[in-house]
Amino acid sequence: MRQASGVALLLGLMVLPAALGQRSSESHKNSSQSFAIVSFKWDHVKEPYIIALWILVASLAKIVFHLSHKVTRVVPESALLIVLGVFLGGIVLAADHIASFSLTPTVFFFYLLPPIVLDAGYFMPNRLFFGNLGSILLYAVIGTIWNAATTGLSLYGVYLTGIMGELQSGLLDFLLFGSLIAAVDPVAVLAVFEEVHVNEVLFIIVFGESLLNDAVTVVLYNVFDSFVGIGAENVTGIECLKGIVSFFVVSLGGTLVGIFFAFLLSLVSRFTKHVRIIEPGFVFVISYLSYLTAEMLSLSAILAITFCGICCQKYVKANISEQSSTTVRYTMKMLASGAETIIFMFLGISAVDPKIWRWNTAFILLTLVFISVYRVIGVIIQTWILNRYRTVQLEIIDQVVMSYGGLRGAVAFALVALLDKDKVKDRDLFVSTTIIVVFFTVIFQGLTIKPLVQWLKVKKTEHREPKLNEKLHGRAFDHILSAIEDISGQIGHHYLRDKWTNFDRKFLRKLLMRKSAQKSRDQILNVFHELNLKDAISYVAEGERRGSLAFIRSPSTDNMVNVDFSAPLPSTMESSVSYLLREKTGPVCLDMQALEQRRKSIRDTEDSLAHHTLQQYLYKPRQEHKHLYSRHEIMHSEDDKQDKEIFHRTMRKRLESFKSTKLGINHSKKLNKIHKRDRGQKRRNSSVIPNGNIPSENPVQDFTLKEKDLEFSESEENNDYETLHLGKGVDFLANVTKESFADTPAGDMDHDVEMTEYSSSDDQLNQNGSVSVNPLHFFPSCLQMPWTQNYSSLENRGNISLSAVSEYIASCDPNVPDLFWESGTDMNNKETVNSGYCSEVSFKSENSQEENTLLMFEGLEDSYMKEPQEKKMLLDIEGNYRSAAARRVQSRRSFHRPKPLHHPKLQKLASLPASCHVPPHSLEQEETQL
Amino acid sequence: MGVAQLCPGVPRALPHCWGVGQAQMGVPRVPAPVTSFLSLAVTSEQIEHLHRRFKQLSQDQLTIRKENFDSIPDLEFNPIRGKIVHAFFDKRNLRQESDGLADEINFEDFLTIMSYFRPIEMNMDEEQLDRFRKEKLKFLFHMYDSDHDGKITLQEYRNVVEELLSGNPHLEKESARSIADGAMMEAASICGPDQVYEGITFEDFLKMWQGIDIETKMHVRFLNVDTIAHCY
Repeated sequence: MRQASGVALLLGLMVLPAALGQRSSESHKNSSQSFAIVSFKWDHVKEPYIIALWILVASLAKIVFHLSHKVTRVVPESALLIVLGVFLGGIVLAADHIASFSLTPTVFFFYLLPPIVLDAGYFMPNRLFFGNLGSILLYAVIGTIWNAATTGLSLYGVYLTGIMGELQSGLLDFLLFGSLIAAVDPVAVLAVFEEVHVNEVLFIIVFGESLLNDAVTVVLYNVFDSFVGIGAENVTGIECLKGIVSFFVVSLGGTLVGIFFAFLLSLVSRFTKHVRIIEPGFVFVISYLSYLTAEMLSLSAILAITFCGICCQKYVKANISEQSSTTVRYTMKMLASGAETIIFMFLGISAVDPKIWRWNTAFILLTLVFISVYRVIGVIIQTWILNRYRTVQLEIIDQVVMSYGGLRGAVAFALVALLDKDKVKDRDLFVSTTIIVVFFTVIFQGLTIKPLVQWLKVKKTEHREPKLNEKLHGRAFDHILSAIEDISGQIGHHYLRDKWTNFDRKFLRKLLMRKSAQKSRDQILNVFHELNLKDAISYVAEGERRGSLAFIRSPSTDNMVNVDFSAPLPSTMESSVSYLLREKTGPVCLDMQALEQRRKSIRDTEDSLAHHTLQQYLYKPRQEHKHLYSRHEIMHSEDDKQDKEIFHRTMRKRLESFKSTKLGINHSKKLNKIHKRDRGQKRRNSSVIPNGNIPSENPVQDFTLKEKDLEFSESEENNDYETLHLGKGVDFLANVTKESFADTPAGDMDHDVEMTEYSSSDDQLNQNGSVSVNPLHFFPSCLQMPWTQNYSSLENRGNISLSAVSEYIASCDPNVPDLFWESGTDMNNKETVNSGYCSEVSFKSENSQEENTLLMFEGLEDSYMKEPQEKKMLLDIEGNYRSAAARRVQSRRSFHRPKPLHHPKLQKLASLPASCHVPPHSLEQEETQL
Repeated sequence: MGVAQLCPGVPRALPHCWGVGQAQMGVPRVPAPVTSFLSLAVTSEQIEHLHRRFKQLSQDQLTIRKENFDSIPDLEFNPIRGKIVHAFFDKRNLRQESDGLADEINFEDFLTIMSYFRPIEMNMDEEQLDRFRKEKLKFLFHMYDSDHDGKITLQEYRNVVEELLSGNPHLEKESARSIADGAMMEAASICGPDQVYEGITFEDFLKMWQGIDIETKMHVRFLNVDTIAHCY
């Protein structure tokens, strides 16, 4: 139903221009005499207008298709588009009686094909591609020649028997037809295989074949086309030899042109530091130039642009900024996806033209049979040869899918449309047959390949998170294997790759990459970054959800986010409320749209403040984190250093918090007792928001503190926003410690505190650790854990933080009874909420800490501590805490005023790594599998 | 291609699978490693080739010493070269239930090490595949576990990662360390924090590899391309 209405809408859109056209001509007549204020100039805009309308129609159609998941799951989009095209074409034909639109070869080859092929090349999983290059080449070259020759010859043989009736074609015409129908089409293959998700080796072989067979197709097509032109009797041996030579020239030449332009592009992108805005443009323009240049030299244009993409991707991605990279990715996907949509729709429309149809049942049916049968035979023979040399064997199932996945598409159609009717007498028959073949392969095979793959249980790709261990071991394997090849004295695949890597590192990178990029581009480091980032994002998502739910008690806020700890604690998790909560809400959402929606919903809720706090803390680090990495500026060696330090520190902390699990057990048991006592009172209150009046946009008052200023200037020097914010957070904790226990060594900026020191401070705290210490410890843990755990940027300011962390970990220890777990963390949470309010409240009353405390406790008292002793202590701590929080917020603001954020927060979201997005045109192999 | 047909010297009855061959190797017999190696390369030519290579490396001696590996120029650039050469002399890789380092290895041992890298065969059943996989992983594990205590400790892991990343001059040791730490944390999420605190055992190691395809990763397809010219 929906689709029907959608189609109706589209039709309306299409009829409109025609109607407008008529009116315009009338109005033109009338107004020709005098000056018209408003004139209607349809003819003036006709061409681009129609193009734009078609694109709109195609895009709208895509939306409509995806309204129903049921349909798109079964029917491939390409098939739907073709059907739609036929339908629309039929309507235009009925209305106009002319088929005015069709897929012309010029448009196809110059505008629609390049984006698709460039996209394929630029996002090609290089390692996989080159790993299987031998197989791909065999299928692409020998396979295509085989298909072309056998199909052409068989058709000719059958023609001689007379079944097809009278045709005006000779052997050469049949071979010409065979050569253009033989090639597997990259567009069709991509469109279908993308939805099937077969395993990567299978995918890369079929897809690589479809890309690389272009050279063969072009040569065969040109050769036979010229042979047909000069006539069969004039074809000599020399001509054939020329054909063979031209194959090598065309393919190698195309590849070289591609590599040359890739080199150029990489080199250019090295120097675009000051023109970031046009950076993405270079990628497209230079790649397109490679295509055009190859076309101009009559080399294989597809090969050129493919190799341009393949070769430049590594360097360009390293050189251009993160934003540019995102822009390139999206633009490329958009162009490719759009082009693909238009191609398939126009294929459908082109079919509706009574002039091109010439039916010959035998010819058409036999063509279908021959291309299928010979494809199967070809695949089996070639695979048999290949399997003798391949490490990973291609099994029978793979061969079935490969044979079945040999889809023909728009390339064949464009080539057949290029044929000259004067030379090739049966052009119309060839065109009709090609259309039928394309429709059959795209619609029928496209429809059935998914069930087939499922039925055969073809190994599918699983999208795993990139794992650091896996990458490391993978690297180890690479080295081991190349070493084994060295030792055994054989040249193998690994040997070559090893040599290439060395060459690349020694020369190419130095030439083509920025200095800063050279440093940061290491695969393993990248994965490491990505993982850290993912951690952070999942925390944000989590935090936002918490925010929107008014921090409903969540015993395991930190636990959830930190994947590392969640695994060993299933029992604890299950008992907690948040576990149930999480079960309902599903996995942590990395989808940016969802995130944004959530943001909006949060804004509506009353606890916008809590969100505000979150935003301040959580978005910034993410931006900054990415930002630091994208800013490949040579001058910023300090940044690099910081960056590195940050990583080291994060890792060390994460690890040490692990270690301290052990050290902290005793400690936590002490805690345990206390919290058991409080449990009853505390439990119910966690979801209650303190009724503080929320002065969200209070003017910042004069609230200076020496220490803060000190901090401030220091972090400004660093030019590191994030350090400031988080540094603040930690800093005030250190302050608290100082005030509460003078004897606790609160080392400031002590980065390289060793593990032993942590533990010793832990002990000290233990000694000090009367009842009063414990609540204090929970502040830091609730505040810090997330960042300590997830953000690379937290400054390691003092011992107290670490001890707190260790305590927190201790509290996560499975040995600790569940009851404690819940109560303890309940408190954490509540205090997180409080902290948000505290900071704001304290703006209002700048006077004394006492006042703050009192004010605060009006809201909290009844629900909070009941035991006087503890209350007193907490009061104290709250006071400190709050003022500290106020300082923090204040300093943040004062910091922001001189240096406003350059980018809105959400803009930055776009700069997240590919894995965070839902790829629009998902060639999902992109980066993870390299 | 029958085994016996290609290598008439080797009786057919000998166990085909490497795992079995290994078990019987407490007392080294001459044909045993050859049998095991058969699954690696299947052709006697390749064994011959390896033998020639062996002789070349050992300078016509019966055994190879560590120093002999220095004569391979290509190996020089390998960042984990030391670990790999070490693995050749690691008795754990050579025989079962023995430990320590061998001073020199003979051709059998050489083939034994090589046989860790043989590709999967089409006709292997599940059990064989599993054992096969374990063998390979054990080799890697032994490489990491440099102090032979059956556990990969954090320090050992760090060492490996440092070596692995030493190829990149821009990466500092600190980065390598934090990466190792991160990897260890990741391992912890699979095996539990205690194990990581004390070191990764082989069982944990196997767990870490669950679901990861090593078929493509630890196989060498020995081609018959002679590169003897490459070493002098």
